[in-house]
Amino acid sequence: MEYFKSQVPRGSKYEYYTYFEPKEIITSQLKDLFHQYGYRQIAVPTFEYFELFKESKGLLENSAMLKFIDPAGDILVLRPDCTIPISKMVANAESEPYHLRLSYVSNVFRGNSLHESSATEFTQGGIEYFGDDSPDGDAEVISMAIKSLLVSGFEEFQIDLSNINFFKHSLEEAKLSGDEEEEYKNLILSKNFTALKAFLISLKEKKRETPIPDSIIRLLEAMPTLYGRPEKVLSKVASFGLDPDHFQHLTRLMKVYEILSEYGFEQYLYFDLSLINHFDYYDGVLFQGYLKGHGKVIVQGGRYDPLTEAFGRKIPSVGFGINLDEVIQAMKTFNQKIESPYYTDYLVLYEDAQRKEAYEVAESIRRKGFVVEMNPKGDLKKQIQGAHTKNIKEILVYNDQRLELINLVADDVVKVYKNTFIRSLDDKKRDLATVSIH
Amino acid sequence: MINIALAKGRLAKEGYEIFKTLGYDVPAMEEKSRKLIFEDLEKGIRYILVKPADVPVYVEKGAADLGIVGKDTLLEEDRDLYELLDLGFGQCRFSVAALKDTKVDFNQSPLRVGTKYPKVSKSFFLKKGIPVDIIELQGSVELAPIIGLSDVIVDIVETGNTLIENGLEVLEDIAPLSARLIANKVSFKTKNGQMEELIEKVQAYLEEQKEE
Repeated sequence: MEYFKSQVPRGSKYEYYTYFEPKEIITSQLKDLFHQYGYRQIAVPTFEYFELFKESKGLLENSAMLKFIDPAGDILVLRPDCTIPISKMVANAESEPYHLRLSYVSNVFRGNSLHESSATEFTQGGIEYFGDDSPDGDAEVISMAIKSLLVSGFEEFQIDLSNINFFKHSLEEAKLSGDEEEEYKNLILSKNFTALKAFLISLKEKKRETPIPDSIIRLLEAMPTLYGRPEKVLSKVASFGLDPDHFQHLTRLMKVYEILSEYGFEQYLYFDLSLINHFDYYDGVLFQGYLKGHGKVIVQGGRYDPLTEAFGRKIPSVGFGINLDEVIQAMKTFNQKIESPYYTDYLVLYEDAQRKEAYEVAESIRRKGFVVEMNPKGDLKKQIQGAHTKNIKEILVYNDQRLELINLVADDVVKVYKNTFIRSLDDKKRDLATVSIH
Repeated sequence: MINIALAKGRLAKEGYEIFKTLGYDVPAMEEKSRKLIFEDLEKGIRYILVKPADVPVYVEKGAADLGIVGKDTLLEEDRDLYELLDLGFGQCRFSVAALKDTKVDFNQSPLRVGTKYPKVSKSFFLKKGIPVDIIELQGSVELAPIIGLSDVIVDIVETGNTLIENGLEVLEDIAPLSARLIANKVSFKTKNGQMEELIEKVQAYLEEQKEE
């Protein structure tokens, strides 16, 4: 058996209409949402220089990108991310952006988690907001992430917020070496309390120029427990007696939380000060969203001013991305019915001699807003079977002026005059519009 | 409902004993059967028995909220999850071993390493700066140096008796191992109330054990 005739490369997938159409619906709802808030649609190249992404340390394992070499000898990759190229685009734009709101829905190619060594193609939607460094800007983007989950039909979810600068500041206070920092981050990422304790004891015992203050050691140890409702986390942190410079990062976070509460979103919000991200470019508020009962991160984002700076012009930037394939997976987890909302209203069958007239009838039905398929009549029994599997509601058999109308739902057959039928469509349309929009 | 993946075998038995003591027993677990799923809807708990190497996979993907698995499997699988507690039982260690009284030439390049744990072996020798040729085996790793298939082996050592019986000795320990309680990152947060209660109970139990 030749494998390529049935197998697909690892990480790629074919999307049949049962999968693709529901995804398209969510995509268009997201696009509408972004549009309503003034986010303009853009697209970035499907492939770019490998160096562009390689330079952003911590983004991805190199092996989780799909690389190829162009005829000129440059190494290229299929875009593993949209934020980096969008920042490049904005930083290179002619004029300084003023409250520039951008949105995208694109396929990206990368390992889904840091531990996946091969790339997967998936659809990501998201926004990037440039030129606003206020807490209001942070709050707007987070509120959009929440809205994205809501328009996707989810209600039970939570958004974890942190300010990565609080974490960074804590590390600076401790003056850890590069390797120590790396180890500490890994322990935090895995909430490995046992090993964390041992690591901190070894830190305390190690001789160093400036000893780490006890309060910082205690903070580093408590870090993975600093999550929960904002008030709870804040009061926990207050007990460490941090200096104001250190604490200001939380004041900022609290401000963002207050704005989001004003918007009525506080029920979704939690703090997790140990939330860190593999993406190195974040600097400021950082957030992740999960659905209750679905074990994967669905939305993530944050502030990343240093990224534009790396491209030569520092612009305040904050954004988020939502993984649309994960949304579909989550719907499956919750047994949410994923049905394509599209179907065919009428199937028109005709004999050779009436093709022209049948086409005209089909066109007039389509003009009324219905979906019509046309088949040469052939074996009627087969046509009925086929219509059933495709969920077609009614079959019209064209016979001169009189149409034979086979209703597959009610299982009956009536004969009607062509003009009467077409006139009756107006009423049907009205009825449908009051019941549902499909 | 909390789903707990247990590594089939001794770890599952000892892990379940802890949960049982804490009131999360499902009597069907204690009967001889081939069933792989045991649940108690009232207590809101479901145990899933899987192969050790699959426990981290179930937990990372969220098919299980919690898991009990050896640190050896965690090191080898290297998954994105929370490693919450050292449960203390199932203690052993990863070690490098070679034929007794034979000097291993570490300068020979590459060093041939027989093991069931290619990732662990690779990263250990990488840190030491020794180039290696990993020979991945499914079992009876002790045979490899005897037959001349490899220069050293990397394996789990508990008492060391198997090594001695095969004329091998430990050259160096890589890491201590024991059973761990692991959690899915999202469940840990979204099922916070229920999970927190269970985890705290296990933690309290472990501390009690330590004091005794």
